[in-house]
Amino acid sequence: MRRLFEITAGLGIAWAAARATQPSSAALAAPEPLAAIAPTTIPAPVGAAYDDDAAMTGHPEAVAGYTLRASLDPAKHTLHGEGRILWKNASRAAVSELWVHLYLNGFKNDKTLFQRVPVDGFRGTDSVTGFGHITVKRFAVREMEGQDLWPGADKTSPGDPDDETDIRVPLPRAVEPGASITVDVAWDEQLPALTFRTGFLDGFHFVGQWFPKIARLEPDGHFTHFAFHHLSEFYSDFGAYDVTIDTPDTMVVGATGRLEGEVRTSGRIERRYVQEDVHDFAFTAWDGFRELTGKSDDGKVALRCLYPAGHERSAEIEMETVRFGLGYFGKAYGRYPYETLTMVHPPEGATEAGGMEYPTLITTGGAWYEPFTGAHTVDTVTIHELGHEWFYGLVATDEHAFPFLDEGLNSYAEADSMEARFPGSSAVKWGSTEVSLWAIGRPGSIERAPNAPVAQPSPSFATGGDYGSLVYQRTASILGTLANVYGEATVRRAIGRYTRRYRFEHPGPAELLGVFDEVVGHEAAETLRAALFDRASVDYLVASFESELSEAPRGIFGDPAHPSPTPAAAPGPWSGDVLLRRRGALRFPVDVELHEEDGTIQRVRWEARAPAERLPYTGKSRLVAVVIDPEHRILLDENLGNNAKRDGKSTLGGAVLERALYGAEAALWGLQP
Amino acid sequence: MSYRDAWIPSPDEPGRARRPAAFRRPGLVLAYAVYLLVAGFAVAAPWSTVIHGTVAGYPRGDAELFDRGSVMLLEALRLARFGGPAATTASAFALVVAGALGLLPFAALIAGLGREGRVRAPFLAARAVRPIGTLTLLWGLGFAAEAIVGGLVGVLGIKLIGALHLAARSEAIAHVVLGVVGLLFLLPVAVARDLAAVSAVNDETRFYTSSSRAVRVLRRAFGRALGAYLVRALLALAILLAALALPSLLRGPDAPPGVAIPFAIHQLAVVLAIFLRASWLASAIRLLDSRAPLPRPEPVLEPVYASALIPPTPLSSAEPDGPVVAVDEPAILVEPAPLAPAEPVAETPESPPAID
Repeated sequence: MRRLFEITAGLGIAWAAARATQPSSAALAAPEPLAAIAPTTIPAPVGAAYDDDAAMTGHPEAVAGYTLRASLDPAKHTLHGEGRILWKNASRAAVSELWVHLYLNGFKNDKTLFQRVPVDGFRGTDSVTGFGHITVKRFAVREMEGQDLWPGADKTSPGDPDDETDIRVPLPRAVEPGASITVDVAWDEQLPALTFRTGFLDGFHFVGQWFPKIARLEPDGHFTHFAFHHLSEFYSDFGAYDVTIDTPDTMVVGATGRLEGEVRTSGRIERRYVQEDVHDFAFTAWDGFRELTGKSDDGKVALRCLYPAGHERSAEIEMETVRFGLGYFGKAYGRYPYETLTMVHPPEGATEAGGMEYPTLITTGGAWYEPFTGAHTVDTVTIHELGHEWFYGLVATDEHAFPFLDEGLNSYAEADSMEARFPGSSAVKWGSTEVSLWAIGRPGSIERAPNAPVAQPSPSFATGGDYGSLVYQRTASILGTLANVYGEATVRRAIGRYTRRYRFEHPGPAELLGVFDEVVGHEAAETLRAALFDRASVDYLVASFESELSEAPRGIFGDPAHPSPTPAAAPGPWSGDVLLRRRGALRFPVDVELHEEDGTIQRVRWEARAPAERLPYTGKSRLVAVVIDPEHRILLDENLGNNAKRDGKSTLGGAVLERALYGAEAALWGLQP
Repeated sequence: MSYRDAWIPSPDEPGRARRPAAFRRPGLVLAYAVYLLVAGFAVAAPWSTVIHGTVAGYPRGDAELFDRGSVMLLEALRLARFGGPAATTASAFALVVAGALGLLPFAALIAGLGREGRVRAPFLAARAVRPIGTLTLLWGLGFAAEAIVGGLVGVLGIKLIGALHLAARSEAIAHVVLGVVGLLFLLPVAVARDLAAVSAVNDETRFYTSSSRAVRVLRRAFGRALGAYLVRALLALAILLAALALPSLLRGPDAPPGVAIPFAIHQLAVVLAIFLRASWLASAIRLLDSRAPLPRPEPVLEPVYASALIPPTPLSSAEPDGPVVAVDEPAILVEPAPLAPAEPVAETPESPPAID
């Protein structure tokens, strides 16, 4: 418990420091109750019971249930919605206002927070070509005399007159803890031209963030609400969704949940989708979709892939990948609890709709030829989005406050699972060249590490590039390094215990670190904390080495009048030492290889407790080379080039030169007349 | 046409090859390959040094770069951001210089292919150096013409494909087809450039005559010329690509990369590619000789040049202004008078052949 307290206290301090060093993003972003999301509670020990699925909870507490009906006009790209929201005050305090997210208004004009915050280096940065918006027509609480409360609601997001995505609705009277209300809602919306996951491209429609959604209510009675931002949009309460989608009968529809029924009426079709225990709902509609269906390996999950013509191979890969992933993630992080999973491969030109996660529905992507290139891009995007069913879906962390908890952990899960499937070539296999996702993610995670801490709110990242490299790649590299050092199975078990214990809950960093402390150990947990919160780094290097023939020490020993016998020489015929350095605050024990001239290789363990240490060397022949971490387990090592040193360093390497030479000769052959 | 545009054999030169062929000049093919090896080293060394720098301290050296997973390969590329720009500049400079200097061994190869029997180095050197101006012009204008033709075909093709509103897969296939079509359009330019270069070296013609002969060959034997070029070029390309994949196929997935076997395979491929290029050049010589021959002096015992009988007009070695039409016409020679002339005509090397 004390350790956990230390961790939690450290988190708080790091959090405050991180906030204090933030650039003036406040000028761009709407004020947020950030203090409220700092980890301040000490999580209870989880225990080994959560190393398998037996103790895992079956259902969340249903807080926000939505029974909605949506009518889509695909010609005008408009949608009329109506229905009711059943909302329960699950906190300890009475609530006298509701916060409602109208995230479609993020696409309303050029002055919304979404539009004006620069996020260069990330997706969705093209300017909006066709604006979209949502207009609430009715927001009436039945338990409060059915009065339409929308006229009394704030018109804009707090402190931001240009943004209409985070709206406060005062209630005529408070909702007591444990009490529920039913809100009748109706709204109209214009979908934007496809931008940042949402909108239309010709007849293709992807409809996300499309209904008035009540913000997440924390146990202490405050809402975690935030305006729609480029780098975060998810954090909600669990509940049941019962959504009827009305479209022309030519449209193929894919949606969250299971299809409960279809009703056809004069050229239109109403499809009813139902899903319990989720916190969002999205759907797609297009008359161009092809369909591939199947079952998970255990037969419990109905799989459906919607894809455009010409992408048959991609659809097959997505299906294979999801089958593999449901088994792999289910074993590692707890079984997938839903009956359906829908994959949507957007058509060409609709890239912005691809690579996204919603409960029981993921979008993939990629050009038709990508499956034939040797790059596992389609597999990777599919497994990544599937992983979000755990890291975001089942473990519903606050993406706004700590995006690394979903994107970061999920990037680790993605690389870990892809490596299990394609060892050494999880990213690319081109002939004899095999590239892993760990290798792909490492450069960005190293280059951007000094820019900002990993564990900070989404709006605090200065650029989308920083966000991508730190939240995705560096988190994955941190966890990958811990797995390489402390054991892949151990780290997977720690994350599995975390995901099972906090299934259908909203944990924060303290819960993750607490589980690491339990499973991997205090040192590992402290390393994880420092790497996430403190911008801590590490660089191992061989500073020098030397060896010489062992000789008995010379000189007079003992009393000069009566000298003692000369001490024996060092055990081996050659002796010397190696000066190793560890720069940076992170520490991992590493292996060190000592290469002797006769080809013998000694391997020793260096705990690297001190920033510099001399290792003694004794051997049968001269020491000619030293290598730290020969398997490159420390993905966080700032520079792998200085991990080795040898006698007689060469300037030109044979293999590289040979390949480059051939390339140059071929180029010259082509250039010659 | 100037006097240099007619084939005037020199008594100390080797005779013209009756049937030029690459296999008769293996030494020249190998010499050209040696040049490519040296030039290739100059181009490859800067980047190789930069990349190798990351693994220079490792006992396994470059083998680290090719391990499964490629962690060190990507690390080397990441760290190359320091030395990479300078290396790129050095390599690009070396590539241009080596490409330009390559005109000399290229010309020597043509000169050797065009001669019978043993050719000596001084002859080849002289034949390589003399037309270097014309060759350089042909090289530069050839690239410019290729760029213009390729650019036009590319722009028009892309606009056409865009206008067709094809589905993604069809559009990709259309782009591939466009690439092939573009190459087909470039083919006559490349063939004409080579034919002109062969004329410039083998017959010492200048730019205009060289180009005119190349065009004449294309007019008279378009299919044969393009076919001869294309078959050999495609075969060479296939050999180079096969050699790229062969070392890794031979060594198996987990064996270290090695250097000796890949080097041998790759150099053999380069030699074969050069041989095929030489074969094409030999074919080009034959085509020029048969389809656009230069006028040759009649085998007369004592030719008397018209200039000796007709009042001399100022001759210039400059290129004619208009198109050369006299190439196919016989040289204006005057048979010796049946009787001895009142004044013997001096036959001196300075007497220019009056062939215009």
